[in-house]
This record gives sequence, C-alpha cells and structure tokens, in this order.
Amino acid sequence: MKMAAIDAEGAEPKARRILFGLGFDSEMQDRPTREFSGGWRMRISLARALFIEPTLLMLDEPTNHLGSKTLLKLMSNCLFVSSFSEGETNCKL
Amino acid sequence: MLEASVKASLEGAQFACSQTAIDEKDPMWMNSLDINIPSITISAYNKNLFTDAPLTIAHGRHYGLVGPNGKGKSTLLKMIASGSLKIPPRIDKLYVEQEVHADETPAVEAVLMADKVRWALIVEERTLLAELASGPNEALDARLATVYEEVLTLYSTFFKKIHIKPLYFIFYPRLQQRLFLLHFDNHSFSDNPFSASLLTFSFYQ
Repeated sequence: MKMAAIDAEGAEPKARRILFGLGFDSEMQDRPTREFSGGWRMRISLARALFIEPTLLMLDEPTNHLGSKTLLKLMSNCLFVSSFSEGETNCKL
Repeated sequence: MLEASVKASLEGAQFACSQTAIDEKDPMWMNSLDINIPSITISAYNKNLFTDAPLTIAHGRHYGLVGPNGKGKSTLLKMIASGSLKIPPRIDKLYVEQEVHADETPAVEAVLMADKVRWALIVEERTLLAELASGPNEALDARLATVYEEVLTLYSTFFKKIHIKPLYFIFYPRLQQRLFLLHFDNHSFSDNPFSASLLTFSFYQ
C-alpha cells in the first residue's frame, strides 16, 4: 500500500522506536492496550506524548501506576526529552 | 475520541467553566504560544473551584500543579484538554490522563492515533481502498491521491524533526546520568525554583 511506502521512514517506525525505548518488544507493540497493566498503559500514554511532542503537555499524576524503578527511568527520560525540545514544550507533572 | 470522553466525564460531573471574553480573531491571540487568561471561574456541583483566578502559562516553562485532593487540579487540566477552557489555537495540547483508556487497539496504533490529523488520513485511506476494492472509481481515485498528497505534506514539515535520540539513553545508565547533570545545569539558571528538572534531581539522588 502506498501509505505504508510513504511511512517507511516516518511515523510508524518512530512510534515503534519510542515504544521500544520504553521497554516494549516487537510482540508487545502489537498487543491490544487492554492486555497491559496500569503501568504499561501509562507508558503507552507517555509514548503518545513523546510521539507528537505537543506544545502543551499536561501530565496528570503520570507516576501513579509505576513502580519506583520504572519511575526513575521514566522521569529522567520524560524530562530529558522536554529538555531537548526546550522552548517548545510546557510540562505539567 | 479522547476529547469527547473527557468532555462527557466533565458534563457528567456538572462542571461549569467561564473565562475572560476573548476575541478569537485577534492576531495576538491567534499566534500566541503563551497562555494568559486574566480570569477563569470553574465550578463543580455548585462549588467554586476557581473564582476569578488568573491563569498564566509561559511557553517553554515547566510547571508543577500542587494542591489538596478535590481542589480542581485535574479539572483544570481536563477543562483545557476538552477545549471548555479556550487557549490560543496555535498551542497543540496533549492530556495524559490518570486512568489510561484501554481497548482492542494495538499499542503501536494507540501511539499513532495521538497525531489526529495523520490518523484521520490513515482511516480515510483504509475506507477509500476498501471501497475501491469493489471496482474502479475515478472520483475515489482522485480523493485517494489528495490523501497521499496531504500525508506527504505532513512529512515534509512535521516528521522531519525526530527527536528520538534521548530514548536510547535508557539503556546506558552512566551516560544518561552524565547528560542528566548537564540538563540540570541548563536549568540551574532558571528563575523558577520548581522547574521540573530540579524536582527530579532530588528524586534521582
């Protein structure tokens, strides 16, 4: 399909790379969201945020479902990205 | 879809929201990346959460929203996310809810759907291809061509800026820490003592 061809270097690989970076292997990336626990769902939400890099990012207690280890990883990761897009993203925790 | 569900949950809880009148055709408003609303009032169940409160969110800053339970922190975010509280149109926003919506959508699609414009084009392509499968149709072909054109335009502008690199640092803890400190230094000149980076730094220790 043509859309897939246009996509070769675009959105879907980007989405998959982000998910992979957050700990999703390729099988998990295609699993329905309802089969994930709260912590993993939250990671999907964060992946959405990293994917579109919105001007205004509102995170409503994003660390709720996460264990302390994941939390540290994600916090540094998330803020990291926001530091890279400095001047573009407002971040609410 | 998400916006609709947020809106519905707000209506169910009888929230009401008003703000300083804005002129939506004012170029200042249309181009602003800062949120500057002199007065907002939000109430729920006839109880005022915010009364005549100013809201200022400067572009590029990080904010933490702190307050006791039930004082309207999430409500304020939901109001912005659902569009009940109007913010300048150039600001694209994403609201990450406390309770994450889950269904049969594969994880990777859930991420792709975050970009609504692009997702709408994908859905349209699917519909058009399904209809075309039953036989040739010039009008549909033409429409399909425009869809592809629009997608290409999206790519030339939006998808060229890919900031993936930072994610890889998850796998390199030492490197990550070094860069993290760098990041911290960047912010040590910030005049906002509650900047998110400072907050995390204490977590990290």
